Amino acid sequence: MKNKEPNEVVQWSYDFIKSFYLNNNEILTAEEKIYHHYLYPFAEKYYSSLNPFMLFGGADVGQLLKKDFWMIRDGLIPLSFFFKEASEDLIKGKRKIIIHKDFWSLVPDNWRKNVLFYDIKSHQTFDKKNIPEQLILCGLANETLADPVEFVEDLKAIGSIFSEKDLEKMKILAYFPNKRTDLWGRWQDENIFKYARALFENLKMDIEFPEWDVLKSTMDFKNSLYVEINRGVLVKDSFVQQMFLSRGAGLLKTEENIENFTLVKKVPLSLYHSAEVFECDYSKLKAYKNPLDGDLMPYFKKIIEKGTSPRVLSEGWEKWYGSYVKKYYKAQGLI
Amino acid sequence: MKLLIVKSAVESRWGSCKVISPNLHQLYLELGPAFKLDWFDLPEDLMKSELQTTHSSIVALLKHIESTKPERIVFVDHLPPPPRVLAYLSMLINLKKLPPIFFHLYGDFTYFSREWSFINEVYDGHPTRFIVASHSQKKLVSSFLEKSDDQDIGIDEMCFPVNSSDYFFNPTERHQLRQEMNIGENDVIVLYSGRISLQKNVELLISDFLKLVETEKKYHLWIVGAFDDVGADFIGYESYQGYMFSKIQAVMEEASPEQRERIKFWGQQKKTELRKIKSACDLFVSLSLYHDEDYGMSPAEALATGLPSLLTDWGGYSSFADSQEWDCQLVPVSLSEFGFEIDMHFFRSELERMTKNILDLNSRQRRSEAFLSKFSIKSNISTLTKILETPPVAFKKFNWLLDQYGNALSLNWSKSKFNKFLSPNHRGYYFDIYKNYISKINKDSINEK
Repeated sequence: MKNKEPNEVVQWSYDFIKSFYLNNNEILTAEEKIYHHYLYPFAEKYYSSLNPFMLFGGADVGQLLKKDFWMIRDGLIPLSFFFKEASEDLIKGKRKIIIHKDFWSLVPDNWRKNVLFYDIKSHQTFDKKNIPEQLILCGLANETLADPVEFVEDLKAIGSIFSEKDLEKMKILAYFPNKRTDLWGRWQDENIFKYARALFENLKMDIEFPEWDVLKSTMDFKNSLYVEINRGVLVKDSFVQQMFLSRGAGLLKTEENIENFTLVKKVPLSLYHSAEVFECDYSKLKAYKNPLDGDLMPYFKKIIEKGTSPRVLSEGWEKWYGSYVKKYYKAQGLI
Repeated sequence: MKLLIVKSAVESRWGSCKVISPNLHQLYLELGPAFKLDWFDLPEDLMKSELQTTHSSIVALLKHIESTKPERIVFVDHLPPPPRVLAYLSMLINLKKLPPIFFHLYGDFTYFSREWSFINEVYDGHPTRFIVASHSQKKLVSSFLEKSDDQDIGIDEMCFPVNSSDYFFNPTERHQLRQEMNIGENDVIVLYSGRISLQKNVELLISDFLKLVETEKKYHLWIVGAFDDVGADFIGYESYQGYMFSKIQAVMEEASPEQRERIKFWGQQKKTELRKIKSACDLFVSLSLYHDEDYGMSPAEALATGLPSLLTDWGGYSSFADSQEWDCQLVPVSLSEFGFEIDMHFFRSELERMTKNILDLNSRQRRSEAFLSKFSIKSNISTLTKILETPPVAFKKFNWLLDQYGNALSLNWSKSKFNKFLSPNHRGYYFDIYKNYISKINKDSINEK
């Protein structure tokens, strides 16, 4: 980061973004390793003609500059940093970047003509009229990435679509890797039991918890509904979703609000799912305001500094910047 | 004879072994009353942590051997790797105290080459038989064993049997599916089934299919199986999820809309569906050059439905081309300085010849029965009985090549870099080892080397 003193920000999280500019593919610091471990396997690489990549993965800028477009799979926080820090050289000429449709509000005015939006669509979808044989629930279940309240909200949403009888008939698989790292909290904060309890209370007791290797070696998930408990704070387009959808799983049928978007391209990602690429009509949208700039920044920095020294970030999530950014966007009515 | 059969406690994670293992288990269950079977389950991923506790499954296995006193121990599955089990057992007991051991070897024998070479000292001289599934695998494993003056080097060949209740020719299903898919009587359906992965060369098959000149026949290509981005990690060729799909998409984009309509991807299918599809098709093709293709379960199941097959002369595939009672042709393969070469001219001419006259239903039925009379579970009971009754021979150690190859592989995995000595070409380890997978090896390549 330029012209900033060490510890002015949570350095390691900035470093992920910075490594993007420095063409540095190495994972250097212990914190980075923890971060990488924390998001595994959700942030694993996958390939498509849209050139998907994760900012924190240290993308090779030389390679990216050769491409006409690339798709950022990261979530809200890395993207916020990206738009604040990234050089506009990256979008010189006709080059485009593609970010998730949910994040249209993060795009600064001067980037708007170079940003497209993606959404992932499965060919098969499920709803109360079309009930799957199997329900696959995945996510990063910890205080940081899916707080327990949100977790229960998402489970209740599933319960509101499918009746108790439907859920009884369905085979339910749940994959919530518990990644305790001591970075975000103590064992009381970071344990899988409370999430398992939420699953039992809101769905049913008969739930299987297969290992990742078992899921990874299963090639057929047709007639399965995939639900990811992921509010897109760090990773929006997850490898786990990509894997299940490319093996035949489907998503929930949702009502779409694409009033401000125009579909420009549909790119198949497997036999069973595609990425849709949109342009956004900004004339109908609110003006951009960076949550990391202006009056808010001193307050924001204070929160970060508090979090970094000593490094007990999860004291918690509610006080950490991720939560702050999320609240900011919610308050603005942007998410 | 008392047999202790050591197997994995869980279903294999490897696609073909999900079929091979249960079929082999069934074959053992159908052995006659002369055999008394006892089964012992081990964790698939036998970890070093097993060595830290006396509650270990290895201790339990040893106690079980001691109490039941089997006359033969049989390692029937590919995982946990048998050499790892032996290495762990050797920490508890002198292996010489164990009864003779029979190993079913799989394509991953080379993958675990380092572990196999590690047991050389502790296992030296132990009464042993290795059971391999094809001629080529026999050649490959033999090439790693110290040369012996004995005629019997302790390697037997028995196929991985097909379950004849799952795979047979069904004319009714053929008729129904072709009707359902709107396929004309004179149309020809060419089938590939199996994983769609880098070394299976499916994109080559598709691009060549697009060059087929249509005469009075309409050609269709059906592809059944899941996209698998396993890459070729043994040579440092990593692949990411979605890569194979994108690669095939790029080939498909070169096709005209009419051609694209003739190519159908079925995705992964269950065995009942797969039998219907195989019954409905007219020719099975595979251009696979997969490095661990020691057998070929998918072609075997296709041949079990009487389907004529056109396969690369690679690995276990050549074992299917031994008989005139069914149709299996091999496409020549060579290893050159440019890597692999497949004789595509031969492939094209055979493809046209084999699809010129579609087999009538009776001929198809006869071919299915003939194949199953050699490759089904039932037809292999006598083969297995004979193998188990054959006196084992003293294990005479693996040679330097296995050790060297194992070391090179493990170094490469840790660096994950491209290594020309491990990659397919006309010299280096790959040639030394995998030349055994080509039944008609180009003599010039050997001379040059």
